Amino acid sequence: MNAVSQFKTLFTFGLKNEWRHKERMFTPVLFSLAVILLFKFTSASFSEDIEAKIMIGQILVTCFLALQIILQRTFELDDTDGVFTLIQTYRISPSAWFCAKFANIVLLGLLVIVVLLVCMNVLNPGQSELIWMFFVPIALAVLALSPLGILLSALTAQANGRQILFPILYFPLSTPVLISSSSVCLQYATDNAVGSPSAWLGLLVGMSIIFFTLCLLLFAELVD
Amino acid sequence: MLQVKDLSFGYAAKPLFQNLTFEVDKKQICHIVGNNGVGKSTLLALIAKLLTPSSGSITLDLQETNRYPIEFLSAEHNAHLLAQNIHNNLEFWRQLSGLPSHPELLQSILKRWQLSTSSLADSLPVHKFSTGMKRRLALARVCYTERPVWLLDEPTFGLDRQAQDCLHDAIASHLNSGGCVLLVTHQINWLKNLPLKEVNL
Repeated sequence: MNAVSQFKTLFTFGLKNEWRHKERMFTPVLFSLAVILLFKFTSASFSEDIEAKIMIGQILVTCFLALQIILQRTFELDDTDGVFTLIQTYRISPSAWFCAKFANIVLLGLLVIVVLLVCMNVLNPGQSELIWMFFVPIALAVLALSPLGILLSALTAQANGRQILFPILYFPLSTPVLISSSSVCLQYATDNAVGSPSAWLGLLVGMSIIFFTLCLLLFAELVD
Repeated sequence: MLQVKDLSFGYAAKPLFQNLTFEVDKKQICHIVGNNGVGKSTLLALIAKLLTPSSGSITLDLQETNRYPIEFLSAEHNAHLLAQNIHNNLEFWRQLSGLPSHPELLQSILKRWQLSTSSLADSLPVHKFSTGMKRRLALARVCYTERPVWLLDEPTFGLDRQAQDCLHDAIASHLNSGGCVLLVTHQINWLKNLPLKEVNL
């Protein structure tokens, strides 16, 4: 069986499994909506410039935490009833397994972003055009952070204290991605941010490629 | 078919077995015998390549590879996608084995294991099954993936008498098709008339 067929099987059944566990699928979305509503109704009024910056912070913090919820539970379903162990005994390509997980996570991450931006749009009707400009840098951040999260999730899946271990490993490594993503958004929102959006976007794309390649290689070592 | 040569393994300071050597031919059942804690399940995990031996080799048809086509049934887990129905569970593992869907075979296996009720197979998630039904589904998976080597660790756990007879028939037909079985079980009365080879640990 080639890696492409294995990818298709793992990806399709991964989605089916998520759909069957609807609470898993919708928890990050509902979490995002709750946090954004909380921000909206507890923040004071500022000048337009500062409000745009606050909005970027709100969107990124919410997205980042929602993504962490998704990532931390990447192998939760596989770990129940020994599925993870049995997959290890099959001749599965680690790349196919990793890519299937990556595609699942990115889809869920994009779902969170779209729902979040639609919600922000409704709450800030005057900023509609600006809000949708944030889609690309945030989606790139999801692309960059997903491989990292999958690797760390696999690494900590059977570790004691994984609820603590995962964020300890994840936060420092995700910081450059978050800085790049917020810099692009800031550049879109204001004129006086440091650097140009294309440079930061290039950095985000570069980090996505580097993280994906490194994590793909390390994942193969890990599951072997 | 399957050759275990000079195999040694232990946890920390406690060696479980040393220089273990045996062979299992096609159409043969290898019954691994020993008291609790001597390493029967560990031996199966080593053959499944879930653990790495301290020394020695395990080869299938004289080829030592990282993975070979075995079907492993653990004593503690059935490896079910618990939120999915019977059909999706069996198809998932068959497709991962690299085989296309085979509806006729699926139906006959479901019938053999008394899992063919349409409402059961199509809608009920596996987590709602009883212990015995989960075990029967796991054994149905072992049959449906059509792999030549079966590693069965306490396969009769939770099975009633009728299901034990089904397992006897399933093993007999697997042996007839040229497969082999490595078996860990403390109940041996259901194994009557099958070609057993004992390995004592």
